[in-house]
Amino acid sequence: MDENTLLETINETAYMLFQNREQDGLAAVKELLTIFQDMIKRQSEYGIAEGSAFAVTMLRELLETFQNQDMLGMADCLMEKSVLFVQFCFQRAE
Amino acid sequence: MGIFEDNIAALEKKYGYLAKKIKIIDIDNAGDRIRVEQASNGMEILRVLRDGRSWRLNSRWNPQIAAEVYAKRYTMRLYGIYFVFGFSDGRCVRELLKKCDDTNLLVVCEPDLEVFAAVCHHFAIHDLVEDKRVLLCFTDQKAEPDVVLKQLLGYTRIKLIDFYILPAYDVLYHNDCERFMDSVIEQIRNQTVIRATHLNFDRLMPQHMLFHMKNMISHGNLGQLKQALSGYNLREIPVIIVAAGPSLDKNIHFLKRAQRKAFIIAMDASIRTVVQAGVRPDLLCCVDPNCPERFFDGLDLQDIFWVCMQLSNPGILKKYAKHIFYYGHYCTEWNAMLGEELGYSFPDWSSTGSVSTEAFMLALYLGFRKLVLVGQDLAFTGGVSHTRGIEGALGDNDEYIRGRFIVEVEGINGELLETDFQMWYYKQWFEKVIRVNQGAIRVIDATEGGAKIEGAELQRLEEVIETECNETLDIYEIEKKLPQAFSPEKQQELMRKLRKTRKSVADFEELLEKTIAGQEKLQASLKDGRTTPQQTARLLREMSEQNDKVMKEPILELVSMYAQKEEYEMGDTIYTDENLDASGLVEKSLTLLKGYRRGSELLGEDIEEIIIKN
Repeated sequence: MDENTLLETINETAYMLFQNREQDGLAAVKELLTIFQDMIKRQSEYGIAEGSAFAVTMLRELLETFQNQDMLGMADCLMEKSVLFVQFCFQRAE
Repeated sequence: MGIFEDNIAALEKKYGYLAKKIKIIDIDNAGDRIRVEQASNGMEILRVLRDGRSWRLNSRWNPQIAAEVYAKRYTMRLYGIYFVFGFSDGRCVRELLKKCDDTNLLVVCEPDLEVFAAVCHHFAIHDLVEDKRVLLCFTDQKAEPDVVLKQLLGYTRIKLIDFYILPAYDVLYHNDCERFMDSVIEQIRNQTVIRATHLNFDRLMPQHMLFHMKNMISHGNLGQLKQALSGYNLREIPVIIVAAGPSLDKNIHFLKRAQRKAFIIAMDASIRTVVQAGVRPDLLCCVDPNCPERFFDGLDLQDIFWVCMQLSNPGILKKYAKHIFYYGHYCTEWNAMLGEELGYSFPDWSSTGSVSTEAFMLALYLGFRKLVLVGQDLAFTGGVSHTRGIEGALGDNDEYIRGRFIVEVEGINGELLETDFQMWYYKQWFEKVIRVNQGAIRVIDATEGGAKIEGAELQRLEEVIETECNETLDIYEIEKKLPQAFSPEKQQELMRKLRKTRKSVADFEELLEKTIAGQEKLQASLKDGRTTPQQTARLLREMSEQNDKVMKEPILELVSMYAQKEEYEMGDTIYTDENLDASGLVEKSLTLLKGYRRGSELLGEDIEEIIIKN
């Protein structure tokens, strides 16, 4: 998935969550969690070792809010942290 | 003025009781649980602590954009009523409101009064409080959402409602959210039942009502009895409500021991069994419009005090009832007039649909708080429908049961019992009232059979009488001393006012004739196709104004009882059929107006027959 597509997916997911569309939002976050976990695993490929603490914090927050079904918590995490994480990853990969 | 003072001033105008409550809530005490913090963009947001976890009630990233995104999800329909669970900081409600027009209503339920108090201190919400399209309700006001829903949800609008839940509220306040949604669903179910009842009884209902409006003038009302009993400690005196379920035959012989030690209310069908057991009830509740005469045939009931409302069967009362206590809603003007004459509100509560539930409500109204149910099987215990005392008044037992819509319920001993939809519905009603009044009332199910009523204590009647009926209070003697509600002069005055309704009907008929003629002309010109879109819009506006004038006439409340079919049909189509063109709208309006015209004729005839001639 390229950067723009991923950012678009994050944005759409956050909107679903702000709209309290529970099932759609949770399914979308579940997919994003897999994508982010994969990105962190492959951090060396993207050269983001220096951003790993931030990435882990983001992932932990997203996971915690997901487990508690906290729609606003997930949406905020996506808009505040996940967007930055993705931008950072793709910039470093370039 | 500051934010809090502005908000409170707005609340005081519309929700005085709420303003008082908010003022006494010390939000500093709630400080650990409810906090206000800053979002990334500097706006304030609320945070609630629950089970060690912090929940924000709006977005920390951008509360305003989050609210706008939330509202974008929904499309508002003309006349739509939207039930919003959660108020939060008001931003989502404000955004939803931007999408509403004057025909819409947002009923916003905030489950956490302390959250709302914190909001009043930190967020300017007076615009929302003042907005006529917003109605606030609070689940911790016990029955309040139900009261609001009853007022709002007429049948005509049940197809136009929708639920919205704010993020976090469904997780944080899960049970309140479910209760709120259940209340709305229950109200929809009620309206459907009421519609069926209205269509079933047709002209019978207004005819009964007219009879009682006249008859009550020379009788008493429950308000008098309530006043007479106000000096006694009714909390400790049990009221025994006797229904006609099959289990009544098991323990009716104990009831005599409770006489003068409990307040005994018999319900129509149970009276034979009660009287045959040598018991004289303190009240006989008779509310069924089609109550069979065979329930009372051959009994001497002249000394019994009856309780009746607007629908009670007049034929039975004429023949058997000498002393009646009235209650109920007749029409708004009449009830208001009675209240003025009496100096206190005429007793009335929302009709509950069955004699058992009405008896329960009247016991609560009088001030009793210890309620004992007898013969209240709410099921066909042992495959039997009623007490033997009614002596086949409802025909063959098996045939009667076969004719019902059967559902299964849990019995008091855990067994499965058959019941019908109606009794199942009343069982739900009892359980809800018990739940809502938890701690304030005590309900003992002494039926010794039948369906399990959640929240009611199970006891044998004999045991209840031994342990609970300890004080002597002869309420029957108190009833005997009560005079008629009105002096002879006042009775004459009320009769004069009642007769005047004939003139109001005639005036209304005249207004209808003019309105119908105008709209028929409009319909003809629309059919010709000679009107421009601008002219059509203007003419439709005029039509709407004419209809408003008709709708504001107080007599319409009585007339519309004769035009139920047309009103329900209108509700089925006009609000929901988005393809109706101008001509279709006029046609629908004319159908309703003609229904009212026919209704006025029938009402006129009935006033002549029931009020003026007799």
